[in-house]
Amino acid sequence: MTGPWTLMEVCGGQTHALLRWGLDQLLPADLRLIHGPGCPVCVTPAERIDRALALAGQPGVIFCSYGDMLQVPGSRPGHDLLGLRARGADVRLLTTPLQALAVARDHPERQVVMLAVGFETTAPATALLARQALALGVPNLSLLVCHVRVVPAMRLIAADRATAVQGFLAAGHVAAVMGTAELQQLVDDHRLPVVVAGFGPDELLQAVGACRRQLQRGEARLDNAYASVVTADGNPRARRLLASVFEPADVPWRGLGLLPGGGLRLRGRYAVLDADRRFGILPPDASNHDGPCISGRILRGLARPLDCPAFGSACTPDHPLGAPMVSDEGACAAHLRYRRH
Amino acid sequence: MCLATAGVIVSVAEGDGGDPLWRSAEVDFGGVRQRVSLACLPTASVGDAVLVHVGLALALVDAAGGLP
Amino acid sequence: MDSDDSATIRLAHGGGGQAMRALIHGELLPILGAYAAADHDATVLGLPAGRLAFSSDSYVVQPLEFPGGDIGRLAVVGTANDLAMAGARPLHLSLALILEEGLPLPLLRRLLTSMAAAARDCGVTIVTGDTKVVERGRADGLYVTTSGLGVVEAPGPITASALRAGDALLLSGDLGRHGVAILAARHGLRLDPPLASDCAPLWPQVQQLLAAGVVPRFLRDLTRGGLAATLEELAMASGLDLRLQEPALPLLPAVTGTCALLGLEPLQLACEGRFLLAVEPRQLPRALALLSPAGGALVGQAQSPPPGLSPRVVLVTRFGSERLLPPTTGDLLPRIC
Repeated sequence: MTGPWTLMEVCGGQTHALLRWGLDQLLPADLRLIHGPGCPVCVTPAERIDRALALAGQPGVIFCSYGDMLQVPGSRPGHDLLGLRARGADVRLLTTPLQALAVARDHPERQVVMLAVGFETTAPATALLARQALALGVPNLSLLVCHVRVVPAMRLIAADRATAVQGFLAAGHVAAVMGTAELQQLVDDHRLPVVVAGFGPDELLQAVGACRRQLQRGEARLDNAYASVVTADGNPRARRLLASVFEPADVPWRGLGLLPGGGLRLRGRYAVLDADRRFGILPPDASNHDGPCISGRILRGLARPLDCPAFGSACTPDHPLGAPMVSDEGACAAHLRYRRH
Repeated sequence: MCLATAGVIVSVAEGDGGDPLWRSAEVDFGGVRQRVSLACLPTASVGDAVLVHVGLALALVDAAGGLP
Repeated sequence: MDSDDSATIRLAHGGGGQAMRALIHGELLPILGAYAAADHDATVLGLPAGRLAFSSDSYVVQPLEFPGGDIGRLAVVGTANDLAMAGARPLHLSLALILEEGLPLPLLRRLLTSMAAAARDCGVTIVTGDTKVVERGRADGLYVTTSGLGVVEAPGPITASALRAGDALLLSGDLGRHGVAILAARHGLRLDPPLASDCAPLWPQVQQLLAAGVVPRFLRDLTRGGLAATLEELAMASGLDLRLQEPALPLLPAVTGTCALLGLEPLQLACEGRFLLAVEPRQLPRALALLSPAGGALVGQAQSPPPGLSPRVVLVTRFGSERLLPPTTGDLLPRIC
């Protein structure tokens, strides 16, 4: 069979690598890549960011976050964690969630909140933090959980009748934890090729080639083009850790709406660490409104960044109107950073 | 998503009472070293290449399969 | 002055009275040496004939001491380097200190000693200065401002607008060591083998180039924002595309490793002892011969941008594909995705 073929790279890290290495210029002419929703910064709904801002603004709270989330606006444009820090909030940048445990133990008189974002790659580290916190009985640490699951989003896109996606490059680091069973299920249910892809330029090119070959032969299989890291079984211990602390939950994604099983929540035994429970209802920061951003269509592969009238003019990384312009991994920011327009 | 980097374990610190929850390693990434939890890779040992994300080792890397 | 090792800076040390005189005459002057204006607020200098370069810079850094340097060395070398980048031999510096109440005196002594050594390395004398003390919590240990005078030895003006299409772009050494030394200290990473900041005087290399007859079209030390910020500014000011060969950029594995761990762009890391040099093509062999022994390299070329497009910095990857250098945002926030 002949193309043109449309593939979606699901993971934002892959979007970033593709543009950073200029791989789109090296692809066969019959191939089009569209950027998927695999960027937790981009898909965290504005109301969760508003919640984070409200918590970080509480007197006495030390609010811990990865650098990625510090400049993500909530529902009010320009309102972010760095701005809050400039106005006096104690917002700290972490590179591993385990640092939050040390912060909490160093400041027993204060409440320490960790903004826990990320896919199934990051969630085990949060789960480990939860286990350690409970084992040590650290009473002043809590988690604002925003973890999301990637396969439900892929299912939504695959099931969308309007979708242009004919094959997926699956996120290799998620598969390193989860293994390939749920991807195989996706292939079986939707009859389209899925290739587990790494993040290096050569690995990505290999994965793209494998996916294209399947399409040309009319096949729909699961391929693993990241075998140096990913095994069919993933990391069972990480998965058990994850399952002992979290359970799947229906959560809203920015741009995609409520996704059945699209997120994680703390299991009952760990609910004591839930920042939503500990702090109860806080005054809302503002109304939830995504403005003119077409991120929902971009995240589903129905529109490209250049289709947006605000792209690069009203909406820039310094003044993002929507999530895909915030993160380096977001489809819009990556395009604006690396491409001439 | 998920910036993960492969490095090599240079030393291992067993946790209290051998509880894997606290087992950690120093991992070398080409001259820069970070303390990393081995809670999810209980059998990893010195010399193993591991994939690390947010301070947690997630997978053994098969160097023959191509370390990035 | 108090010789106790637990002694700290007190507000009185900036109050204009006995304590301040003891600080200046008991600590600063003996350590810093030639302080021409010790008994006066202004210094009178005899200067060589010719054109002068004059530069000023403030220094804030945490941690105050890091592998390969400290805020004191940075403050002396940094301003001397700004003069060297104008093609000027650095001669004299002023030194203004803002000290935070509670700053340990032994730390201040170490920093002053480091400044004195850096001044010797740069061939400059510290000729005037000022000291203020602010309440605890109002400053980050100490802030340093230095201003410097130098005499210009370059034959022509060194400006971005002198750049021409076809000019070669060279680096004086590998990138990012200073930034990595600071980042590692901040984020609990250990550099092994140890990697020190590249903080070093640049005038000796510039003087060598000038003595060999190299006429720099453009020179810039790669401090805040690193090579990325310098290239961005140069492209804008010259109106030219800057086309860089990515594989030619000199980067140590520990620098790329740290950036991979923290999700940062190595070209945005600060250097404190590296510069970008642009020369016309026929001067390239001479310049390269002088720079390459210290790790310098030819990394790219200036060229006219495509018609109708604004000038940009273009990186050619090892695959031959192209990307733009992403704009420097000014904040190095480690990320996880």
